[in-house]
Amino acid sequence: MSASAAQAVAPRRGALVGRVKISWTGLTTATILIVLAVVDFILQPALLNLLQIGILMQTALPLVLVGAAQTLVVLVRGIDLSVGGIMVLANAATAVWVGERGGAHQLMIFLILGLAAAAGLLNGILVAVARFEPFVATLGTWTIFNGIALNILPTDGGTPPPSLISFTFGTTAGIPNSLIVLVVLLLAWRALRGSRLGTRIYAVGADEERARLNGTSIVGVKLFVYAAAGLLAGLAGVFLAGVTSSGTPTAGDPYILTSVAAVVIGGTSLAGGSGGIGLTMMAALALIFISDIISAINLETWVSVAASSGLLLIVVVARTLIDREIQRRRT
Amino acid sequence: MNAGTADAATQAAGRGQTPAGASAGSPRGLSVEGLRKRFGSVRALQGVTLHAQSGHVHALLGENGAGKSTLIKILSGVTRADEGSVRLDGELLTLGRPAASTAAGVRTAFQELSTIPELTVAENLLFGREPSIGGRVLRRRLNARAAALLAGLGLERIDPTAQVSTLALGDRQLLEVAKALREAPRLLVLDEATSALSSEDSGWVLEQARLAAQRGAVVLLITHRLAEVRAAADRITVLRSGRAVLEGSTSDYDDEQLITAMLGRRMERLYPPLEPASGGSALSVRGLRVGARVGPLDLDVAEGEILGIGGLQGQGQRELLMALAGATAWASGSATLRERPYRPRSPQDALAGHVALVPEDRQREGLLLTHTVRANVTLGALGRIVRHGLIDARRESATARAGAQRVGVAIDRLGTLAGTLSGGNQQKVVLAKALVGEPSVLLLYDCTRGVDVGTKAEIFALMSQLAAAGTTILFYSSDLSELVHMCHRVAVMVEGQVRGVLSRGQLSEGAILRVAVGTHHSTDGAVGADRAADLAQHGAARLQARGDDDGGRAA
Repeated sequence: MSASAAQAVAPRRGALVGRVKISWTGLTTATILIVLAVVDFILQPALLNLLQIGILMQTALPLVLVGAAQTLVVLVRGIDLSVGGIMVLANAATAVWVGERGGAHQLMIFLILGLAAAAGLLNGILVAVARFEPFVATLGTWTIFNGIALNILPTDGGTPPPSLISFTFGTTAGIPNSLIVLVVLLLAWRALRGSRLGTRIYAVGADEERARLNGTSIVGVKLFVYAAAGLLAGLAGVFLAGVTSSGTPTAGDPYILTSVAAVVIGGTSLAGGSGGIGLTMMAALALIFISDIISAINLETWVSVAASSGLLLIVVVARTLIDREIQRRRT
Repeated sequence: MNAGTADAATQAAGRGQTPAGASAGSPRGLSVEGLRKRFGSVRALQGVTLHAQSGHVHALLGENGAGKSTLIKILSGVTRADEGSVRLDGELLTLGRPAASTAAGVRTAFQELSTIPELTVAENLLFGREPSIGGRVLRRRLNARAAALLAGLGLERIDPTAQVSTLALGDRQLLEVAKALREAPRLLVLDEATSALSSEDSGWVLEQARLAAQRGAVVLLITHRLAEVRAAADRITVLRSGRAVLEGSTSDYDDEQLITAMLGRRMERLYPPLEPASGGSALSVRGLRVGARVGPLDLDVAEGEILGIGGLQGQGQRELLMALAGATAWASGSATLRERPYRPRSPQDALAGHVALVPEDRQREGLLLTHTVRANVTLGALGRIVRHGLIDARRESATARAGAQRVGVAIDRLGTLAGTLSGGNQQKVVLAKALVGEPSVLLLYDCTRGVDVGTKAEIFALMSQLAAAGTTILFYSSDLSELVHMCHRVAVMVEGQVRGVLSRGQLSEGAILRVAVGTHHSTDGAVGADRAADLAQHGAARLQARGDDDGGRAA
């Protein structure tokens, strides 16, 4: 009786594809990604093989990871400017500490990731326990983490462990490792989204007071979210060291606003409580395709900067118009 | 911190043993002793004592600001008490933590709603009790369990997979109650759970309250509708200014005595007399359609007339008023306002035509809660207080003072934040804001919902004065007796259309219901008629604090 009642109800929130319910927001973001990918592959047909896609994914990996970090924080109605700082901290540490010591590379990298998570946890404490505005708190810690990174590695250089570099460029059973990392990230996100903790994250983002009335620990959820964001940003820094085969203690800053852009273009609400990492991953890849398309057209630098912004604007406008149309049809 | 909390911790640790703190008099039930709470300089509770037995529905009455909400928040663990203790079946309750209250069996349906709009019905209903393996929620089982729970409560029409934000306000209110009922509560608190509901759904809530009491729970029922108290409550406590001023059996007190206890004085009358509307046509609407579901609608309202908009909840009343206020786009149709074409494309257009709206959800649509009363009152009339592009503080104050005086908000409140006012005063500020623009047409959307009797009487008096001065009022209310007493005519809406217009001579709660329900069940006339009679009886028992001469007409 109860089972039939559950089956009888029609889904309302999106289209039903097989047994998986896909939101309209997700469809819009996927469409944007696919259109940009098709354009890029038409311009550069040579890219259409697994190896080249793997290289593209390597380029995209740091942005995808920072975007994922930013999404978690935005979901609880926060913002994390320090992702750039944590990223370069992990990046410099990977290039200097691991490179110098040699030997137990893996263990050292895990320690660095633990440090990144601790840095995120510090943000969480400032925001959830000390109740500073996320913007101000992470603006402060961003600078601190940047400073520590410069202390570890004053200029570009250092030597990331060869095993990391070969992993970043390598393949497993013919599949580029970068692609595998993306899939693992997506699966981890789906597991989190489907868990009790995932429901709590959305509840806190939607309405803290109501989440509290329901017995959710706001502080606990936020500490987890900021620590997880720190971990992901640290992972981005480690992979950046692998991709560039060196340490770059100033590489983090452009990722801060770009990660927010990826969150917004993906369809996660800055007001918290709706969206997700899957959306941001698609949007981050779309941003990578934009820069790839622009570089393929081979323009003068100033034109290409303007052109990539123009293309970005077109994407944002398209997303907004589609969202509005969906909203209009629904009511 | 108080000594009670420390005791409570010991108690919680030793639960299962004989409760050491069980009071000899009434071990089964809720016992509140000497509860005190201050917010800054405001004494919300000044030593409240309350005893409610298991198996009883106990009504908690009082005006807005009497301390009901504070008491409920303390019971639910949302707010800490400064002093005092709470025992449930003899056990001391740990105060100040929602989880502790929940563990002790306290379940609250909050007036502000605790459901999270971005989650689905099932996720909300089973929040904290999700079927899961290793932290992973089993979605199909979650939805099935929620569907079974809803079916068991007779709420099959609510889709467990729907996002709560897509539900109507009434359904969200029902969901809030369903959530409180999901495990057998020892103390069930219903905080104005019926205020947003039609009489049919209110009946459901009262039924659930009685069932919970029969199963041995203490039920605290908070409502402004005395008829609901009569229908469901065994005993009553009246709060006034943070103190319990009356406690006793429902049958021992009549409405008059209860209202006097709430107000602390006798109230002359709730409904003022209405002068007949004699003016010419003010607003005339032809073929209005809003969205796909509402319309075509025709309406004619005269100057100085109060036209009631009646019908069951969600029949397009909201869409009609929102469209007239320029807040929702018109799909088609035309209108004339004082012999000039009227088709507002924005609320500014409507205000320019002197059409003002008092919306339903005052906290979300009517007020800037973090701004002062002064800023809120003058918001709609910025044009008149601005000089050289800047707000002229003197004019702003004068305008705000005039507006506040008209609705009876104390002048010394002008500088306070709107969010800190009681519900009744907030609604008055929204009214003042609407009146500052000197509207010729005033649209009132359920502006008396969740408002105490005293404030209601003031709002009705104001409506009567405005109508006498020639203002046209469109008045939607979910309370039938208000429509009967405060309107010259009532247009009853069914499925987005005006199904009938009742003139003052024809007006009664039964007549409105017959149009609203009878036609609704046209395929099954007998059931419809029964239902209408049933509802009319329920409705007629509602508060009638009017003179005897009018009593007969409402029955």
